[in-house]
Amino acid sequence: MARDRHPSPRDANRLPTAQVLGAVLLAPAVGMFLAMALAAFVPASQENRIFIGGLLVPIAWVGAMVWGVLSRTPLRCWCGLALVLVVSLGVVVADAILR
Amino acid sequence: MRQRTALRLYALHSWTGVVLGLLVFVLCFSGSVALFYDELHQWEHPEHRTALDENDYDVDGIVRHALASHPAAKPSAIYLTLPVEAKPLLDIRFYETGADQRRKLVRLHYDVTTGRELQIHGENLGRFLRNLHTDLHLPNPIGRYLAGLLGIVMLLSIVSGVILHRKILANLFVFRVHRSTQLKWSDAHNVIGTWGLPFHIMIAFTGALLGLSTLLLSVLALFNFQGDVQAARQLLAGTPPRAVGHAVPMTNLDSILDDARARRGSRLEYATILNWGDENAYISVQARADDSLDASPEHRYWLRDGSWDETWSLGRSVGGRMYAAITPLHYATYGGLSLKILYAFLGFAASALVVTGIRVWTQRRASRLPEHARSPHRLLLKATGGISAGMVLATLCAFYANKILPTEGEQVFAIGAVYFLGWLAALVCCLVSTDVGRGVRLVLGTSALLAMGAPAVNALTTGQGLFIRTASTNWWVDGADLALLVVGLGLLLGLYCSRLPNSPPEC
Repeated sequence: MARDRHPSPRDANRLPTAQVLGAVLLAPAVGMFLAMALAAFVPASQENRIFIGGLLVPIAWVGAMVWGVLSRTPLRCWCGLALVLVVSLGVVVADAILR
Repeated sequence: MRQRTALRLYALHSWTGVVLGLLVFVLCFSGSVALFYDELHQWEHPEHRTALDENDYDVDGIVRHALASHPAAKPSAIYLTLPVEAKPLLDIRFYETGADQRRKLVRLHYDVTTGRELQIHGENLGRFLRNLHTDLHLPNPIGRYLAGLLGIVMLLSIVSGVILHRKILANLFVFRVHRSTQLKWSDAHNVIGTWGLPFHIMIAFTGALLGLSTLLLSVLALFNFQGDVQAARQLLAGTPPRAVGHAVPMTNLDSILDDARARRGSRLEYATILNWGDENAYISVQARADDSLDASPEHRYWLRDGSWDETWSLGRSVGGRMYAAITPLHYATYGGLSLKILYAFLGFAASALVVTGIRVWTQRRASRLPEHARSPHRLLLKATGGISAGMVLATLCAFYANKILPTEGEQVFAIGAVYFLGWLAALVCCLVSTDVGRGVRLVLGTSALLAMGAPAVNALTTGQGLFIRTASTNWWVDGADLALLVVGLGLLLGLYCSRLPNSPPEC
């Protein structure tokens, strides 16, 4: 932990493998569903939601990757991304059912 | 920013660039050249060097002739690429079912001024360069998805770089020419990245969307249309009419094109004919909006009587307008040739960003290591030099291949072979060179000579060009020749300037 708080210059080029793996594997799905979930809140037609959802995907994808890699611990990275994924999926499914 | 976050962002930025940067380089460089796909057409095809009179061509007669020449074909859809000034020919495509019940694409090209059918052996050079950018010459849709993923990688690199370099405004004007080589490369990376930032964000974002659009559409359709991708596609493209099976005579296509031209006041680009000969025959004419990011509207007409049905546009809604702007934004089709030249400069700058980034990272890493442990870094530096400079050489080799190789048969394969052989030769040259700078200079010097020689080769092989004036020589051919000369001179100037400080190799 002390090493984590005060990283040496040697760590400058080290990426945490577990976090990178989590970000690479989960970020595409998180990006996709988070974008769709956010678009579900847009008070617009179905057509507009699809377009806006599509436009949000790359932003959400990159955001999820950066967040995952910057996570302090692997657990936080995996669980955080999984949580966002599950919540987003829930919102999207609920939106599809309720509409 | 906390030190741990900064270091991790630095590592993310570096490793993204080192591992996938060269692929991003290939996309950026090939895209910058492929922007001029239409503009290079006449240079590539001397037989098409004709002036176009937009008010005096007979599309209707040509389409009927094309269909009459393939009586067995009963195409449900006929795709027309209408002539434009840079590419003055009518391209007709439809599918024909052969005796073996296999669908075969029929592609015909006509000189619209004479109505004569032209023999074209593929759009070799332009098509090769464009496919390298859009698909990396990989099978569809893998290549397209990979290109989209590289757009995401580029965005990731940009985001991490921007957060890392917090003094963005200061970076705009810092280029310490009299300091160490390492610092100059670092400053070049920062300056290029900062000045080109809005463009790089836009091109990465639109590229990612274009590459992944099919995949995104499928996922979005899964929830919004209960998995019906066709329904989602119809939302984007409208619902086409179905054939009813009653044969009726077709109205004149030229009068429809004239009407479409008058409606938009812009150049017509594509037309799609559905159910030719049927009562429900339909034509959709797409106009190119040369001066706006607005979606190119489609004017739709019934072919039974030539009546206008609707003008359909993706930009009917806010989301649609945003989505419709993606393609013009990425391909620079909304501001004429000058905008394309600006895009090309910024695209080359994005390529340079990758090279300078890898160079800075490698030098920085190597400087911390003892001499005997620097071999992998040296190898990476040489490979980067070989791949990046080699792509310049390979592109110019493809220009020569287009002019020198026989045009019979599938020339695109031969151009590809020359392209990759040239690239490989440059890579080997840089790898075996004792000093990476010397190898790169040799490759770029050769490229400069090739670029300056290309107009002469064009003139010698086609009898037309910058040095030999004929009636059919026009601005498009002259422009391409001039651009090649400028590229050659620019490369020579760059090489001369790079020799001035003559700094010793550091890696």
